[in-house]
Amino acid sequence: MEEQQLFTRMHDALDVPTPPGAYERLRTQLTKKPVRQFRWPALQTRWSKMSFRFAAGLAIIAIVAAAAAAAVAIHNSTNNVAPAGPRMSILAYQTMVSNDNAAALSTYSGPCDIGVHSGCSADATRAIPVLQKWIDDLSRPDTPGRFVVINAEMRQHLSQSLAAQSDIIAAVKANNGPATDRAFIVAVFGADWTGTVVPGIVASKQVDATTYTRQVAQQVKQNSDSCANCTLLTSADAKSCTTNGGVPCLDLFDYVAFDFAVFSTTLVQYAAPDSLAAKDARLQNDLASADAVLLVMRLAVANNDQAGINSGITQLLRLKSQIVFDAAKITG
Amino acid sequence: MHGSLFSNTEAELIQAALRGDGSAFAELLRPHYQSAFRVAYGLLHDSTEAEDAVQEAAFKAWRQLGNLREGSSLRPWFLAIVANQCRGTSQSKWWSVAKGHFADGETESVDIAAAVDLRRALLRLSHDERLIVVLRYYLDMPFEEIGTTLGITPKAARNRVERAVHRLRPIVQIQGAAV
Repeated sequence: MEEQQLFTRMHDALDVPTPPGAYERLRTQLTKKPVRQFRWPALQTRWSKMSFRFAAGLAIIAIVAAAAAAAVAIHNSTNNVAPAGPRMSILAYQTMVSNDNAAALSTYSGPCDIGVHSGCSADATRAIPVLQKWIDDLSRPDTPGRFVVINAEMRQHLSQSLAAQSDIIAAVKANNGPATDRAFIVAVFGADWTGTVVPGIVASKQVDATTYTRQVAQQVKQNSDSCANCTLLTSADAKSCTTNGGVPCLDLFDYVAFDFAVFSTTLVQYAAPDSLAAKDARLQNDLASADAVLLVMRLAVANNDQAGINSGITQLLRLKSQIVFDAAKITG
Repeated sequence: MHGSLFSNTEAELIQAALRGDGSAFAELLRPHYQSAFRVAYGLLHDSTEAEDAVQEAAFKAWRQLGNLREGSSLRPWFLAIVANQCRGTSQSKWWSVAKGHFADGETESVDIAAAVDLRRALLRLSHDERLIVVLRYYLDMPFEEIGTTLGITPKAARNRVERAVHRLRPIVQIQGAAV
């Protein structure tokens, strides 16, 4: 899609006038409801250096005491199921994933696409160490509980993508266009998937039962229950999947994969309350099973392997039923 | 230009807003209201929701105004708050677009099918991808300002735009083929 064409199409599709009086309504609201300013606590300049040092000393003592208390608490709460050390904090995990994702995104400069390969080898060469580091980060044993399932899925996606990067380099070196396309189709799946999931991880927070149940119900209704794209993919015959290097089937596959990825993301973003943790774990695990099938299907799509695609669809539809069943246990 | 440095008037309005003057803060937002609405509409595809999101974001921005560093540009800072406000309410709404909801005031001359296709395609993107496409192609932002809004370098902004367009392309193509 040409740059200028995209500008034009975006404006055609989205240009709407601002609702009449919208700004005035905002102005009225702002005038009616003064807000309390939020500012990060600032040091009071009237403090002397001595009192500042004294306060700093007290703060350090307090931090050391709190750290010691936390260490004792964690030690006391550790049971045989938990990993050897304390779990990583949720914030630290979110930061790690966010940084790894940003690093991975920055390796892409293109041009690299189906049929366009001039930038592929350089992109893949940059991506390999970055993806390896990301996988290493995800392989730590102290993943916070709420991210354990998605963490395992992410590792699988990134591993598949990493292997495909090497395939891209080899295919480009051999000047093998179709093989480069196949490897690219596999490689880009990892980035598409993480592009969907990572924002949910970063925004993750535990919610109450009502909110969680509503989110699950919404996902079932909007994505999984209808599974319109699954049906489309089921109806895709060998001809439609093998035409034009598998691209039409690839797009249908993307729709299906996206639906499942959004569902998994929602469960992480709106983390279940403790009272629903067991049911949430079942749902997440079944979604992860579906995701594993999608990973295999992606290879089948890249290789125009219709039998592999059909086998995947059968497994996916079975898992979809299980997912709907799991969700019904939550939503009642 | 979007005012990379505070003018005297803007600085005075900020001081007044910090003292709790709502009309001063409203004046500060006036030149950026349309951009803010467009970001929200580009992300949510619903005029009413977009207006609500901008209003909520305005109150958040007012509360956090003291954290805006002197010399920083107000527009990208405010647009980032608007975008965050829209996060979470914008997922998985493409079915409603598929049913053919059109905004008030949409003209007959627009290719409705193409417009719906693009909106559907946009809603298939993640929030961050959609945001970057909206900033680039709907607000016509240069990469430098996109970078400032998202807290990333212009190069990273360019990479992300390319990445999002790459994701958008096949979706638009297949939807176009289906029409």
